[in-house]
Amino acid sequence: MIRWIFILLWLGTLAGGQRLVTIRRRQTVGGGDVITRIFGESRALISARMLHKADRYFHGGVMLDNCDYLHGHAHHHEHTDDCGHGVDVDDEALARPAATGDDHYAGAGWYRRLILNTRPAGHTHLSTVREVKELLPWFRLATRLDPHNVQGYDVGAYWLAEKVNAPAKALALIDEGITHNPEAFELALTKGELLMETDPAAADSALAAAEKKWLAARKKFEEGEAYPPHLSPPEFALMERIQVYRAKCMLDLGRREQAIAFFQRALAVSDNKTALQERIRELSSQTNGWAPPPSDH
Amino acid sequence: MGKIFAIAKLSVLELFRKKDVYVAIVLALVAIVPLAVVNAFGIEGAVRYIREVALLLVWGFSVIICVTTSARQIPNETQRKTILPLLAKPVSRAQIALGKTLGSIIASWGALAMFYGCYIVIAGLKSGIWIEPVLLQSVILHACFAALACSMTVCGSLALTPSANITACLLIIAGGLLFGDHLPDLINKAPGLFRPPLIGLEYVLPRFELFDLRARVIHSHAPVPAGVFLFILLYGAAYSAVFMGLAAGLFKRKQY
Repeated sequence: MIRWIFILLWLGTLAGGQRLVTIRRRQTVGGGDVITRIFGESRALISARMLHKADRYFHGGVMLDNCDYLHGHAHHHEHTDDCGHGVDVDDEALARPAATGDDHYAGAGWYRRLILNTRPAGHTHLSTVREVKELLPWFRLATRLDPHNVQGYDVGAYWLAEKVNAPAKALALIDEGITHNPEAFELALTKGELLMETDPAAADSALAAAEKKWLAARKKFEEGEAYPPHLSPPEFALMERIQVYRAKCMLDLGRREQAIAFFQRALAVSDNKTALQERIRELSSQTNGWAPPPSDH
Repeated sequence: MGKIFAIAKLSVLELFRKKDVYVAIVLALVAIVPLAVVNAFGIEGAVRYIREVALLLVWGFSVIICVTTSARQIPNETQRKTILPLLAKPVSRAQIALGKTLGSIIASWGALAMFYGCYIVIAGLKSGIWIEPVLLQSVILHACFAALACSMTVCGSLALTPSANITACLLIIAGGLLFGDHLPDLINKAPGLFRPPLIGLEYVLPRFELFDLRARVIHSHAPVPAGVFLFILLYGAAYSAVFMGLAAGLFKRKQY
Protein backbone atom coordinates (compact mmCIF):
# COMPACT_ATOMS: atom_id res chain seq x y z
CA MET A 1 0.00 0.00 0.00
CA ILE A 2 2.77 2.44 0.99
CA ARG A 3 4.58 1.56 -2.21
CA TRP A 4 1.51 2.59 -4.27
CA ILE A 5 1.18 5.84 -2.34
CA PHE A 6 4.81 6.62 -3.16
CA ILE A 7 4.28 5.77 -6.83
CA LEU A 8 1.19 8.00 -6.98
CA LEU A 9 3.01 10.82 -5.22
CA TRP A 10 5.93 10.47 -7.60
CA LEU A 11 3.64 10.51 -10.66
CA GLY A 12 1.74 13.50 -9.23
CA THR A 13 4.95 15.43 -8.65
CA LEU A 14 6.14 14.62 -12.15
CA ALA A 15 2.86 15.72 -13.72
CA GLY A 16 2.73 18.89 -11.58
CA GLY A 17 6.28 19.77 -12.45
CA GLN A 18 5.61 19.29 -16.14
CA ARG A 19 2.51 21.48 -15.85
CA LEU A 20 4.50 24.23 -14.13
CA VAL A 21 7.17 24.08 -16.83
CA THR A 22 4.50 24.36 -19.52
CA ILE A 23 2.80 27.32 -17.83
CA ARG A 24 6.14 29.08 -17.29
CA ARG A 25 7.09 28.49 -20.90
CA ARG A 26 3.80 29.92 -22.14
CA GLN A 27 4.22 32.97 -19.92
CA THR A 28 7.75 33.79 -20.94
CA VAL A 29 8.13 32.63 -24.47
CA GLY A 30 5.09 33.26 -26.53
CA GLY A 31 6.50 30.94 -29.18
CA GLY A 32 9.90 29.64 -30.22
CA ASP A 33 10.49 26.82 -27.75
CA VAL A 34 13.81 25.82 -29.29
CA ILE A 35 15.10 29.36 -28.87
CA THR A 36 14.13 29.39 -25.20
CA ARG A 37 15.79 26.05 -24.61
CA ILE A 38 19.00 27.32 -26.16
CA PHE A 39 19.14 30.82 -24.75
CA GLY A 40 16.92 30.66 -21.66
CA GLU A 41 16.17 33.98 -20.01
CA SER A 42 19.24 35.57 -21.57
CA ARG A 43 17.36 35.82 -24.86
CA ALA A 44 15.89 39.20 -23.87
CA LEU A 45 19.38 40.62 -23.45
CA ILE A 46 20.55 39.09 -26.71
CA SER A 47 17.45 40.43 -28.42
CA ALA A 48 18.22 43.96 -27.18
CA ARG A 49 21.76 43.45 -28.45
CA MET A 50 20.36 42.63 -31.89
CA LEU A 51 18.71 46.05 -31.99
CA HIS A 52 22.06 47.64 -31.09
CA LYS A 53 23.53 45.67 -33.93
CA ALA A 54 20.86 47.03 -36.30
CA ASP A 55 21.78 50.52 -35.10
CA ARG A 56 25.44 49.86 -35.81
CA TYR A 57 24.60 48.54 -39.26
CA PHE A 58 22.50 51.62 -39.89
CA HIS A 59 25.62 53.71 -39.20
CA GLY A 60 27.75 51.64 -41.59
CA GLY A 61 29.40 49.64 -38.81
CA VAL A 62 30.27 52.64 -36.63
CA MET A 63 29.36 52.63 -32.94
CA LEU A 64 27.54 55.86 -32.14
CA ASP A 65 25.93 56.67 -28.81
CA ASN A 66 24.47 60.06 -29.59
CA CYS A 67 22.42 59.28 -32.69
CA ASP A 68 19.11 57.48 -32.14
CA TYR A 69 17.86 58.09 -35.64
CA LEU A 70 17.10 54.40 -36.22
CA HIS A 71 14.96 53.83 -33.12
CA GLY A 72 13.69 57.36 -32.73
CA HIS A 73 12.20 57.34 -36.19
CA ALA A 74 9.21 55.14 -35.44
CA HIS A 75 6.22 57.29 -34.39
CA HIS A 76 8.06 60.50 -35.15
CA HIS A 77 7.72 60.99 -38.86
CA GLU A 78 5.53 63.90 -39.53
CA HIS A 79 1.94 64.03 -40.69
CA THR A 80 1.86 67.79 -40.76
CA ASP A 81 -0.11 67.96 -43.98
CA ASP A 82 -3.35 67.41 -42.11
CA CYS A 83 -2.43 67.16 -38.47
CA GLY A 84 -0.89 70.53 -37.97
CA HIS A 85 1.90 69.15 -35.79
CA GLY A 86 4.74 66.70 -35.89
CA VAL A 87 8.38 66.27 -35.19
CA ASP A 88 10.83 65.78 -37.98
CA VAL A 89 13.56 63.61 -36.61
CA ASP A 90 15.68 64.09 -39.73
CA ASP A 91 16.19 67.71 -38.75
CA GLU A 92 16.86 66.79 -35.12
CA ALA A 93 19.45 64.22 -36.09
CA LEU A 94 21.14 66.57 -38.48
CA ALA A 95 21.16 69.38 -35.95
CA ARG A 96 23.28 67.36 -33.52
CA PRO A 97 27.06 67.56 -33.66
CA ALA A 98 28.27 65.02 -36.20
CA ALA A 99 29.60 62.05 -34.24
CA THR A 100 32.03 59.72 -35.92
CA GLY A 101 32.55 56.96 -33.38
CA ASP A 102 36.14 58.07 -32.64
CA ASP A 103 35.32 58.56 -28.96
CA HIS A 104 35.18 54.79 -28.49
CA TYR A 105 38.92 54.45 -28.97
CA ALA A 106 41.27 55.82 -26.34
CA GLY A 107 44.94 55.05 -25.78
CA ALA A 108 48.34 56.27 -26.90
CA GLY A 109 48.56 58.30 -30.12
CA TRP A 110 50.11 55.57 -32.26
CA TYR A 111 47.59 52.98 -31.09
CA ARG A 112 44.62 55.30 -31.52
CA ARG A 113 45.74 56.21 -35.04
CA LEU A 114 46.13 52.55 -35.98
CA ILE A 115 42.86 51.36 -34.48
CA LEU A 116 40.90 54.24 -36.01
CA ASN A 117 42.29 53.33 -39.41
CA THR A 118 41.31 49.70 -39.07
CA ARG A 119 37.72 50.37 -37.95
CA PRO A 120 34.84 51.91 -39.90
CA ALA A 121 34.60 55.63 -39.23
CA GLY A 122 32.44 58.63 -40.14
CA HIS A 123 28.80 59.41 -39.49
CA THR A 124 26.78 57.90 -42.32
CA HIS A 125 23.26 56.49 -42.48
CA LEU A 126 22.14 53.67 -44.73
CA SER A 127 19.72 55.25 -47.13
CA THR A 128 19.01 53.23 -50.27
CA VAL A 129 16.47 50.38 -50.27
CA ARG A 130 19.26 47.87 -50.90
CA GLU A 131 21.23 49.19 -47.93
CA VAL A 132 18.28 49.34 -45.57
CA LYS A 133 17.53 45.67 -46.29
CA GLU A 134 20.72 44.91 -44.38
CA LEU A 135 18.94 45.88 -41.15
CA LEU A 136 16.05 43.45 -41.56
CA PRO A 137 17.75 40.23 -40.37
CA TRP A 138 18.56 41.91 -37.05
CA PHE A 139 14.93 43.00 -36.52
CA ARG A 140 13.79 39.48 -37.39
CA LEU A 141 16.31 37.92 -35.00
CA ALA A 142 15.49 40.41 -32.22
CA THR A 143 11.77 39.66 -32.38
CA ARG A 144 12.27 35.90 -32.76
CA LEU A 145 14.60 35.78 -29.77
CA ASP A 146 12.31 37.82 -27.57
CA PRO A 147 8.67 38.13 -28.65
CA HIS A 148 8.27 40.80 -25.93
CA ASN A 149 10.75 43.10 -27.61
CA VAL A 150 8.09 45.67 -28.50
CA GLN A 151 10.65 48.12 -29.84
CA GLY A 152 11.92 45.45 -32.23
CA TYR A 153 8.46 45.04 -33.79
CA ASP A 154 7.82 48.77 -33.79
CA VAL A 155 11.08 49.90 -35.37
CA GLY A 156 11.23 46.89 -37.70
CA ALA A 157 7.74 47.62 -39.03
CA TYR A 158 8.61 51.28 -39.59
CA TRP A 159 11.68 50.43 -41.68
CA LEU A 160 9.84 47.72 -43.60
CA ALA A 161 6.98 50.04 -44.49
CA GLU A 162 8.75 53.34 -45.03
CA LYS A 163 12.14 52.38 -46.40
CA VAL A 164 11.80 48.93 -47.98
CA ASN A 165 8.32 49.69 -49.28
CA ALA A 166 6.83 46.47 -47.94
CA PRO A 167 3.76 47.68 -45.99
CA ALA A 168 2.07 44.26 -46.04
CA LYS A 169 5.09 42.65 -44.38
CA ALA A 170 5.23 45.53 -41.91
CA LEU A 171 1.60 44.95 -41.00
CA ALA A 172 2.23 41.21 -40.61
CA LEU A 173 5.13 41.97 -38.25
CA ILE A 174 3.02 44.39 -36.21
CA ASP A 175 0.18 41.86 -36.00
CA GLU A 176 2.69 39.26 -34.77
CA GLY A 177 3.87 41.77 -32.16
CA ILE A 178 0.30 42.50 -31.06
CA THR A 179 -0.38 38.77 -30.69
CA HIS A 180 2.60 38.41 -28.35
CA ASN A 181 2.05 41.76 -26.60
CA PRO A 182 -1.69 42.41 -26.55
CA GLU A 183 -1.32 45.23 -24.02
CA ALA A 184 1.29 47.21 -26.03
CA PHE A 185 -0.52 50.38 -27.13
CA GLU A 186 2.45 51.57 -29.21
CA LEU A 187 2.08 48.57 -31.54
CA ALA A 188 -1.60 49.33 -32.08
CA LEU A 189 -0.59 52.95 -32.72
CA THR A 190 1.97 51.84 -35.31
CA LYS A 191 -0.65 49.63 -36.94
CA GLY A 192 -2.92 52.64 -37.17
CA GLU A 193 -0.13 54.73 -38.68
CA LEU A 194 0.62 52.04 -41.25
CA LEU A 195 -3.03 51.85 -42.32
CA MET A 196 -3.72 55.59 -42.36
CA GLU A 197 -2.79 56.15 -45.99
CA THR A 198 -4.61 53.16 -47.46
CA ASP A 199 -7.53 52.33 -45.17
CA PRO A 200 -8.60 55.16 -42.81
CA ALA A 201 -11.47 53.13 -41.33
CA ALA A 202 -9.21 50.20 -40.37
CA ALA A 203 -6.60 52.69 -39.17
CA ASP A 204 -9.17 54.36 -36.91
CA SER A 205 -10.16 51.00 -35.51
CA ALA A 206 -6.49 50.19 -34.70
CA LEU A 207 -6.05 53.64 -33.18
CA ALA A 208 -9.20 53.17 -31.08
CA ALA A 209 -7.63 49.96 -29.75
CA ALA A 210 -4.40 51.88 -29.07
CA GLU A 211 -6.39 54.46 -27.12
CA LYS A 212 -8.10 51.81 -24.99
CA LYS A 213 -4.76 50.14 -24.25
CA TRP A 214 -3.18 53.50 -23.44
CA LEU A 215 -5.99 54.31 -20.98
CA ALA A 216 -5.64 50.90 -19.29
CA ALA A 217 -1.88 51.34 -19.08
CA ARG A 218 -2.25 54.88 -17.73
CA LYS A 219 -4.64 53.66 -15.05
CA LYS A 220 -2.14 51.01 -13.97
CA PHE A 221 0.65 53.55 -14.06
CA GLU A 222 -1.20 56.11 -11.92
CA GLU A 223 -2.35 53.51 -9.41
CA GLY A 224 1.25 52.40 -8.98
CA GLU A 225 0.61 48.86 -10.15
CA ALA A 226 3.46 46.75 -11.46
CA TYR A 227 4.06 47.98 -15.00
CA PRO A 228 5.59 45.59 -17.56
CA PRO A 229 9.17 46.73 -18.21
CA HIS A 230 9.00 45.94 -21.93
CA LEU A 231 6.24 48.51 -22.51
CA SER A 232 6.70 52.23 -23.05
CA PRO A 233 5.36 54.49 -20.29
CA PRO A 234 1.91 55.82 -21.26
CA GLU A 235 2.95 59.40 -21.91
CA PHE A 236 0.41 62.09 -22.83
CA ALA A 237 2.36 62.87 -26.00
CA LEU A 238 1.45 59.42 -27.33
CA MET A 239 -2.21 59.93 -26.46
CA GLU A 240 -2.08 63.27 -28.27
CA ARG A 241 -0.65 61.52 -31.31
CA ILE A 242 -3.39 58.87 -31.19
CA GLN A 243 -6.07 61.56 -31.12
CA VAL A 244 -4.49 63.59 -33.91
CA TYR A 245 -4.18 60.51 -36.10
CA ARG A 246 -7.80 59.59 -35.41
CA ALA A 247 -8.79 63.12 -36.41
CA LYS A 248 -6.87 62.68 -39.66
CA CYS A 249 -8.68 59.38 -40.31
CA MET A 250 -12.02 61.14 -39.73
CA LEU A 251 -11.05 63.86 -42.17
CA ASP A 252 -10.13 61.24 -44.75
CA LEU A 253 -13.52 59.60 -44.18
CA GLY A 254 -15.24 62.97 -44.60
CA ARG A 255 -16.41 63.20 -40.96
CA ARG A 256 -15.31 66.72 -40.13
CA GLU A 257 -17.30 67.05 -36.88
CA GLN A 258 -15.75 63.93 -35.43
CA ALA A 259 -12.32 65.13 -36.55
CA ILE A 260 -12.86 68.35 -34.59
CA ALA A 261 -13.87 66.32 -31.54
CA PHE A 262 -10.66 64.28 -31.76
CA PHE A 263 -8.58 67.43 -32.20
CA GLN A 264 -10.24 68.78 -29.04
CA ARG A 265 -9.30 65.62 -27.19
CA ALA A 266 -5.73 66.01 -28.42
CA LEU A 267 -5.82 69.62 -27.22
CA ALA A 268 -6.68 68.46 -23.70
CA VAL A 269 -3.44 66.49 -23.38
CA SER A 270 -1.19 68.58 -25.60
CA ASP A 271 1.74 70.76 -24.55
CA ASN A 272 1.72 72.63 -27.81
CA LYS A 273 -1.83 73.94 -28.05
CA THR A 274 -1.47 76.77 -30.56
CA ALA A 275 -1.26 74.67 -33.73
CA LEU A 276 -4.14 72.46 -32.64
CA GLN A 277 -6.35 75.43 -31.71
CA GLU A 278 -5.64 76.95 -35.08
CA ARG A 279 -6.58 73.67 -36.82
CA ILE A 280 -9.82 73.38 -34.81
CA ARG A 281 -10.73 76.98 -35.63
CA GLU A 282 -10.05 76.38 -39.29
CA LEU A 283 -12.19 73.22 -39.38
CA SER A 284 -14.99 74.78 -37.31
CA SER A 285 -15.30 77.65 -39.75
CA GLN A 286 -16.05 75.08 -42.46
CA THR A 287 -18.81 73.28 -40.47
CA ASN A 288 -22.29 74.34 -39.51
CA GLY A 289 -21.90 73.84 -35.84
CA TRP A 290 -20.55 71.73 -33.07
CA ALA A 291 -20.78 67.93 -33.31
CA PRO A 292 -20.85 65.48 -30.42
CA PRO A 293 -17.77 63.30 -29.82
CA PRO A 294 -17.79 59.85 -31.44
CA SER A 295 -19.83 57.26 -29.59
CA ASP A 296 -17.16 54.55 -29.21
CA HIS A 297 -15.66 56.14 -26.04
CA MET B 1 66.86 26.76 -44.00
CA GLY B 2 66.20 23.44 -45.76
CA LYS B 3 66.23 21.63 -42.42
CA ILE B 4 63.72 24.09 -40.97
CA PHE B 5 61.36 23.54 -43.91
CA ALA B 6 61.73 19.75 -43.65
CA ILE B 7 60.60 19.89 -40.00
CA ALA B 8 57.84 22.33 -40.93
CA LYS B 9 56.57 20.00 -43.65
CA LEU B 10 56.11 17.22 -41.11
CA SER B 11 54.00 19.49 -38.91
CA VAL B 12 51.79 20.50 -41.83
CA LEU B 13 51.21 16.90 -42.85
CA GLU B 14 50.32 16.04 -39.28
CA LEU B 15 47.60 18.72 -39.07
CA PHE B 16 45.87 17.61 -42.27
CA ARG B 17 46.24 13.95 -41.30
CA LYS B 18 44.42 14.61 -38.04
CA LYS B 19 41.48 16.16 -39.94
CA ASP B 20 40.83 18.95 -37.41
CA VAL B 21 40.52 21.46 -40.23
CA TYR B 22 37.90 19.47 -42.08
CA VAL B 23 35.77 19.18 -38.95
CA ALA B 24 36.00 22.94 -38.44
CA ILE B 25 35.01 23.62 -42.05
CA VAL B 26 32.03 21.25 -41.87
CA LEU B 27 30.88 22.90 -38.61
CA ALA B 28 31.22 26.36 -40.16
CA LEU B 29 29.27 25.31 -43.25
CA VAL B 30 26.53 23.75 -41.12
CA ALA B 31 26.14 27.11 -39.38
CA ILE B 32 26.45 29.40 -42.40
CA VAL B 33 24.60 27.66 -45.24
CA PRO B 34 21.14 27.61 -43.59
CA LEU B 35 21.63 31.29 -42.67
CA ALA B 36 22.56 32.13 -46.24
CA VAL B 37 19.45 30.45 -47.61
CA VAL B 38 16.97 32.12 -45.25
CA ASN B 39 15.72 35.63 -46.07
CA ALA B 40 14.38 37.79 -43.26
CA PHE B 41 10.70 38.64 -43.90
CA GLY B 42 11.06 36.89 -47.28
CA ILE B 43 12.96 39.90 -48.62
CA GLU B 44 16.17 39.18 -50.50
CA GLY B 45 19.23 41.39 -50.61
CA ALA B 46 20.72 41.34 -47.12
CA VAL B 47 24.30 40.05 -47.17
CA ARG B 48 26.15 41.81 -44.37
CA TYR B 49 24.75 39.53 -41.69
CA ILE B 50 26.09 36.51 -43.60
CA ARG B 51 29.49 38.18 -43.83
CA GLU B 52 29.37 38.93 -40.11
CA VAL B 53 28.48 35.40 -39.02
CA ALA B 54 30.84 33.75 -41.52
CA LEU B 55 33.80 35.94 -40.58
CA LEU B 56 33.10 35.42 -36.90
CA LEU B 57 33.26 31.65 -37.45
CA VAL B 58 36.38 31.96 -39.62
CA TRP B 59 38.12 33.93 -36.87
CA GLY B 60 36.87 31.69 -34.08
CA PHE B 61 37.92 28.46 -35.77
CA SER B 62 41.24 29.90 -36.93
CA VAL B 63 42.12 30.90 -33.35
CA ILE B 64 41.28 27.40 -32.13
CA ILE B 65 43.28 25.73 -34.91
CA CYS B 66 46.30 28.04 -34.48
CA VAL B 67 46.47 27.48 -30.74
CA THR B 68 45.73 23.76 -30.61
CA THR B 69 48.06 22.95 -33.52
CA SER B 70 50.97 24.98 -32.17
CA ALA B 71 50.51 23.94 -28.57
CA ARG B 72 51.04 20.26 -29.30
CA GLN B 73 54.00 20.51 -31.70
CA ILE B 74 56.87 20.07 -29.23
CA PRO B 75 54.98 18.53 -26.25
CA ASN B 76 53.68 15.70 -28.49
CA GLU B 77 57.20 14.92 -29.71
CA THR B 78 58.35 14.88 -26.08
CA GLN B 79 55.47 12.70 -24.94
CA ARG B 80 56.03 10.14 -27.73
CA LYS B 81 59.80 10.32 -27.13
CA THR B 82 60.30 11.04 -30.86
CA ILE B 83 62.07 14.24 -29.83
CA LEU B 84 65.18 12.22 -28.95
CA PRO B 85 65.89 10.83 -32.46
CA LEU B 86 65.08 14.31 -33.80
CA LEU B 87 67.65 15.89 -31.48
CA ALA B 88 70.18 13.22 -32.49
CA LYS B 89 69.98 14.39 -36.10
CA PRO B 90 72.33 17.12 -37.35
CA VAL B 91 69.91 19.95 -36.65
CA SER B 92 70.25 22.60 -33.98
CA ARG B 93 67.60 23.05 -31.30
CA ALA B 94 66.89 26.51 -32.65
CA GLN B 95 66.20 25.00 -36.08
CA ILE B 96 63.80 22.48 -34.55
CA ALA B 97 61.93 25.20 -32.64
CA LEU B 98 61.77 27.41 -35.74
CA GLY B 99 60.73 24.47 -37.92
CA LYS B 100 57.94 23.52 -35.54
CA THR B 101 56.72 27.14 -35.39
CA LEU B 102 56.89 27.53 -39.16
CA GLY B 103 55.06 24.22 -39.60
CA SER B 104 52.20 25.32 -37.40
CA ILE B 105 52.08 28.70 -39.18
CA ILE B 106 51.91 27.10 -42.63
CA ALA B 107 49.30 24.61 -41.43
CA SER B 108 47.21 27.47 -40.01
CA TRP B 109 47.56 29.36 -43.29
CA GLY B 110 46.33 26.27 -45.13
CA ALA B 111 43.30 26.13 -42.86
CA LEU B 112 42.75 29.88 -43.36
CA ALA B 113 42.89 29.45 -47.14
CA MET B 114 40.15 26.82 -46.93
CA PHE B 115 38.01 28.94 -44.58
CA TYR B 116 38.29 32.05 -46.74
CA GLY B 117 37.64 29.98 -49.87
CA CYS B 118 34.32 28.88 -48.38
CA TYR B 119 33.59 32.43 -47.18
CA ILE B 120 34.25 33.96 -50.61
CA VAL B 121 32.00 31.41 -52.33
CA ILE B 122 29.08 31.83 -49.87
CA ALA B 123 29.28 35.64 -49.60
CA GLY B 124 29.91 35.95 -53.32
CA LEU B 125 26.92 33.81 -54.27
CA LYS B 126 24.71 35.84 -51.94
CA SER B 127 25.95 39.34 -52.86
CA GLY B 128 27.46 38.98 -56.33
CA ILE B 129 30.64 40.68 -55.05
CA TRP B 130 33.56 38.28 -54.93
CA ILE B 131 36.87 39.78 -53.80
CA GLU B 132 37.13 43.41 -52.67
CA PRO B 133 40.51 45.05 -51.93
CA VAL B 134 39.62 45.37 -48.26
CA LEU B 135 38.96 41.61 -48.11
CA LEU B 136 42.44 40.94 -49.50
CA GLN B 137 43.94 43.20 -46.84
CA SER B 138 41.86 41.45 -44.21
CA VAL B 139 43.07 37.99 -45.32
CA ILE B 140 46.72 39.11 -45.31
CA LEU B 141 46.43 40.65 -41.83
CA HIS B 142 44.60 37.54 -40.63
CA ALA B 143 47.52 35.42 -41.90
CA CYS B 144 49.91 37.71 -40.03
CA PHE B 145 47.75 37.30 -36.93
CA ALA B 146 47.91 33.50 -37.34
CA ALA B 147 51.72 33.64 -37.52
CA LEU B 148 51.84 35.71 -34.35
CA ALA B 149 49.37 33.46 -32.50
CA CYS B 150 51.29 30.31 -33.52
CA SER B 151 54.65 31.78 -32.49
CA MET B 152 53.27 32.84 -29.13
CA THR B 153 51.72 29.42 -28.51
CA VAL B 154 54.85 27.45 -29.49
CA CYS B 155 56.84 29.71 -27.18
CA GLY B 156 54.30 29.11 -24.40
CA SER B 157 54.43 25.35 -24.96
CA LEU B 158 58.08 25.41 -23.89
CA ALA B 159 57.35 27.20 -20.64
CA LEU B 160 53.95 25.82 -19.57
CA THR B 161 52.13 22.50 -19.50
CA PRO B 162 50.03 21.90 -22.67
CA SER B 163 46.66 22.50 -21.00
CA ALA B 164 47.85 25.63 -19.18
CA ASN B 165 49.42 26.93 -22.39
CA ILE B 166 46.27 26.36 -24.46
CA THR B 167 44.07 28.02 -21.82
CA ALA B 168 46.42 30.99 -21.39
CA CYS B 169 46.88 31.54 -25.13
CA LEU B 170 43.14 31.26 -25.88
CA LEU B 171 42.38 33.73 -23.08
CA ILE B 172 45.02 36.21 -24.23
CA ILE B 173 44.04 36.02 -27.88
CA ALA B 174 40.26 36.02 -27.35
CA GLY B 175 40.58 38.74 -24.70
CA GLY B 176 42.68 40.84 -27.08
CA LEU B 177 40.26 40.42 -29.97
CA LEU B 178 37.15 41.06 -27.87
CA PHE B 179 38.33 43.71 -25.42
CA GLY B 180 41.62 45.00 -26.83
CA ASP B 181 39.93 48.14 -28.16
CA HIS B 182 38.72 48.94 -24.65
CA LEU B 183 41.98 48.32 -22.77
CA PRO B 184 43.17 51.97 -22.92
CA ASP B 185 39.75 53.10 -21.73
CA LEU B 186 39.86 50.50 -18.96
CA ILE B 187 43.27 51.83 -17.86
CA ASN B 188 41.94 55.40 -17.75
CA LYS B 189 39.02 54.35 -15.55
CA ALA B 190 40.87 51.83 -13.34
CA PRO B 191 41.62 52.67 -9.68
CA GLY B 192 45.26 53.58 -8.95
CA LEU B 193 46.28 50.13 -7.70
CA PHE B 194 45.18 48.31 -10.85
CA ARG B 195 46.65 50.76 -13.35
CA PRO B 196 50.34 49.64 -13.39
CA PRO B 197 49.56 45.96 -14.21
CA LEU B 198 47.07 47.03 -16.87
CA ILE B 199 49.59 49.44 -18.41
CA GLY B 200 52.12 46.58 -18.31
CA LEU B 201 49.66 44.36 -20.19
CA GLU B 202 49.06 47.12 -22.73
CA TYR B 203 52.75 47.37 -23.60
CA VAL B 204 53.81 43.71 -23.27
CA LEU B 205 50.97 41.82 -24.95
CA PRO B 206 50.61 41.98 -28.72
CA ARG B 207 47.55 43.97 -29.83
CA PHE B 208 45.68 41.24 -31.69
CA GLU B 209 42.72 43.51 -32.41
CA LEU B 210 44.80 45.53 -34.89
CA PHE B 211 44.76 42.58 -37.32
CA ASP B 212 40.98 42.33 -37.31
CA LEU B 213 39.47 44.17 -40.30
CA ARG B 214 36.14 42.34 -40.15
CA ALA B 215 34.06 45.47 -39.56
CA ARG B 216 35.52 47.13 -42.66
CA VAL B 217 34.89 44.01 -44.77
CA ILE B 218 31.34 43.49 -43.51
CA HIS B 219 30.30 47.08 -44.24
CA SER B 220 32.28 47.35 -47.51
CA HIS B 221 34.49 50.21 -46.35
CA ALA B 222 37.53 51.42 -48.25
CA PRO B 223 40.82 49.58 -47.75
CA VAL B 224 43.11 50.57 -44.88
CA PRO B 225 45.75 53.18 -45.89
CA ALA B 226 48.86 51.48 -47.25
CA GLY B 227 51.14 52.95 -44.56
CA VAL B 228 48.94 51.69 -41.74
CA PHE B 229 48.60 48.28 -43.39
CA LEU B 230 52.38 47.89 -43.76
CA PHE B 231 52.98 49.10 -40.22
CA ILE B 232 50.60 46.45 -38.81
CA LEU B 233 52.30 43.78 -40.93
CA LEU B 234 55.70 44.82 -39.61
CA TYR B 235 54.31 44.96 -36.08
CA GLY B 236 53.05 41.37 -36.41
CA ALA B 237 56.30 40.18 -38.00
CA ALA B 238 58.38 41.81 -35.25
CA TYR B 239 56.31 40.26 -32.46
CA SER B 240 56.42 36.84 -34.19
CA ALA B 241 60.21 37.11 -34.49
CA VAL B 242 60.48 37.94 -30.78
CA PHE B 243 58.38 34.90 -29.84
CA MET B 244 60.35 32.64 -32.22
CA GLY B 245 63.60 33.88 -30.68
CA LEU B 246 62.25 33.26 -27.20
CA ALA B 247 61.10 29.76 -28.22
CA ALA B 248 64.55 28.95 -29.63
CA GLY B 249 66.18 30.21 -26.43
CA LEU B 250 63.84 28.23 -24.18
CA PHE B 251 64.23 25.05 -26.25
CA LYS B 252 68.03 25.29 -26.05
CA ARG B 253 67.83 25.20 -22.25
CA LYS B 254 65.35 22.32 -22.15
CA GLN B 255 66.73 19.12 -20.55
CA TYR B 256 65.83 15.71 -22.08
